[in-house]
Amino acid sequence: MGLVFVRCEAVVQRRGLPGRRAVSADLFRRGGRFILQPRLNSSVLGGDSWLSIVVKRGKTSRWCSDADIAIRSTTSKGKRMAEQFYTVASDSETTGEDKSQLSFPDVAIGIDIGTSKCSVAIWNGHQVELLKNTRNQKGMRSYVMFKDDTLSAGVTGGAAQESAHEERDILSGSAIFNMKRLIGRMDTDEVVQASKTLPFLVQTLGIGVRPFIAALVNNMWRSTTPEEVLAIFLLELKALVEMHLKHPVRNAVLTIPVAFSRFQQTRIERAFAMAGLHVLRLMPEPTAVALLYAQQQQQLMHDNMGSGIEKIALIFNMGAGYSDAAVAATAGGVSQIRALSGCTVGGEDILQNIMRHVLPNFDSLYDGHTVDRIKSMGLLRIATQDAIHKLANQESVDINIDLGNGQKVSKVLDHSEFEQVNRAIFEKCEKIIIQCLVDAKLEPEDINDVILVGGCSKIPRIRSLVLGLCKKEVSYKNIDALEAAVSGAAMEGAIASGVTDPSGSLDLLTIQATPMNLGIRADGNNFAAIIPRNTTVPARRDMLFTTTHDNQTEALIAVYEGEGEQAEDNHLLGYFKIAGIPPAPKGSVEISVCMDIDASNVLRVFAGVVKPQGPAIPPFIEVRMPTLDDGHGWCGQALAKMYGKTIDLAVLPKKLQP
Amino acid sequence: KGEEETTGAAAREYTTEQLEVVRQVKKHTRDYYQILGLEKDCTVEDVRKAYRKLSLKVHPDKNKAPGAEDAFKAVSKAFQCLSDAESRKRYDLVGSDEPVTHHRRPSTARAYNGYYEDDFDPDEI
Repeated sequence: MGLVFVRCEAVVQRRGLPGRRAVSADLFRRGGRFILQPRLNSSVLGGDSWLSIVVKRGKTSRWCSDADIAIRSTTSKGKRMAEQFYTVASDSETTGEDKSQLSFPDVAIGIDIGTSKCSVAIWNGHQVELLKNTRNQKGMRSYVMFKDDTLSAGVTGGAAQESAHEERDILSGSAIFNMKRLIGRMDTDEVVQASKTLPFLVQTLGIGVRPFIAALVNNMWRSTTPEEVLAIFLLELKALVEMHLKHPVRNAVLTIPVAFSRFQQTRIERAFAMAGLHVLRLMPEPTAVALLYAQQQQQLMHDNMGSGIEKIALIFNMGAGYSDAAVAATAGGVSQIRALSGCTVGGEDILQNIMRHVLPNFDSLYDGHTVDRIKSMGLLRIATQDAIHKLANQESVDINIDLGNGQKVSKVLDHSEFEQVNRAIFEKCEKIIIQCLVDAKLEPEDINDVILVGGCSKIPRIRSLVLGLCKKEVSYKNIDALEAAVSGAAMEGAIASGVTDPSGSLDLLTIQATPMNLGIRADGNNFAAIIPRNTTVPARRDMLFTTTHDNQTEALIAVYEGEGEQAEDNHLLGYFKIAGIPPAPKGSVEISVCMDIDASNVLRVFAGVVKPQGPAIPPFIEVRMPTLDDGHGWCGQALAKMYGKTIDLAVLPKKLQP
Repeated sequence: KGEEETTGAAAREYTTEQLEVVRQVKKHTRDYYQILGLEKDCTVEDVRKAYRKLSLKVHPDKNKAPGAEDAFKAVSKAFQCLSDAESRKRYDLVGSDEPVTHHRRPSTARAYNGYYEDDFDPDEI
């Protein structure tokens, strides 16, 4: 379980006022950290400070009496207090048992946080139901608006406020969006660099630390983080669902891009925890679509229209921020993911390419982030987006905008020009599809159905490209391109929560696979993959390593994730040291490194000496990954500087069994 | 146990049938054919069918009995080996799908025992 929580009572006191009161809260544990989250019905306000917490276990109560606990708390209005560290002070009175809240069905909801739009779906007992906001939208814009003292997210679109947000407001610099592209990325990342032309402030130092992100409030840049923005958005989303279901929501199944690193996954889980949601499962977006496909195939079987033979589907998903491809083999309600591949290109890149194309001095013009420039940037963005949408259905489109300050854009854009400008993007899409087919050891002829989803799947060139590679005339029809992922997530939510349906409509299963290689640095700077990509999860694999120096008593286990052959080309997830290796000639010691991914996608690394054996050998070490919190680019360099090759490992050549 | 853990509380129940299927799988962890309940002369289609059927029974999404996760890992490993003609041939020949050093199994298996309890224990804090 990635994040475990227990019910507890927290005693709080209003700053400067006498009297204490108990509120119920959830205590989350992630790695060695504790996060306290007040429950929905607990009114915890900005001036409150925490005094103590008590964890209930059956009829007995246990006081927490040690450890610094990081407390994140939220007020009912959706504002987050500053994170405080505190040490539990003293015992205090608590309220009695409260079991009534457990009586509601604890079924995980499905959430699809898109770069541009977000949707939420629930299993209503019979089928998946997408929820609509007060504006009657199923797809809600993913952004948070910062205004004076109020924050409002795209879920309600400011409908509850005096005035609803318009596109112009969202692009005024006061709203933060594209959180999914920014979360968990360092300022050296090209995706972060490309985000510097967004209306809000993305400031980079280019040294491998978090970018500085800020929204314009009363002509001042107010700083925030992608996690915080996402948490505020999720609080509004959670309230929407709870209003609909009339009971609190705890668990969610979330769809994520295939290209998301494990580090990004932990950041997104943290944002969910801040909003009081536990992520039960993380599903790569195309695999959620695969589950929906499996259900439809099963339905055909029940209606005596299907053959029951295994069907191979290629799923291509392209949204605003990411593209994903997957190959799934489906039969009997079981969808097995054979291959996954993803990259960080999406509609946002297409939009930026076209904006640069129609306004060649785009970058220099919008460098300063002055209010005037933000305004004209917003106008250009709206006009370009509109043109791209129109181009999906017509041969050419006129772009005519007055950007103010004497700047005018007047251009006719046709298909061939559009395709020329975005050629690099289309090539990347082709690459991940080909990669998927190769990894799944399939020819285009083996594919039964091509499923196109995501906002960008409406672009004619994308459709023809995917269908061409799979040698198909038409794509699979019965899936809604914008609703498929969230529907699959809600279905998985019901399945993983243990819901069974008497009609058999939940006798389904998606067998997931790892999207990226997981391994350690060995043989110099090489990357030794222990769990190769596309391994079915849950999974456990081990590999033997040996020392590279005589009498080497310590070894560094540096864990990486990615596709690069060199360790440095991959994401460093964490590292630890094995000490107490008995002195021996190099190459004679055997060190086993085992990696384990559980059903909740938690990665653990085990390592220890297996040869020689004996009482002098130190115990194995278990480490949950990622352990790194920030600046992982630096850590790798610091490790190299500190230790050089002195505590390196080498892959032990495999010997055949006699 | 499970009462105080509100997360997935409803999902922690399992039947004796589910526990039994987990036990069955774990009994034969070194024989891939026996794990999938197949004969040595089965077809690839048989392997796929058996894998799907067994996955629906032991996958941790479907089976909350203790050990289901490990059972599914074993089932997947067996499928991975037997569904590929090349690795199946090697397995049939040497009784293993991968070249292994002779003594690794017993020691590593023992060392990992007990590491996999990730249930949250309120006593810890």
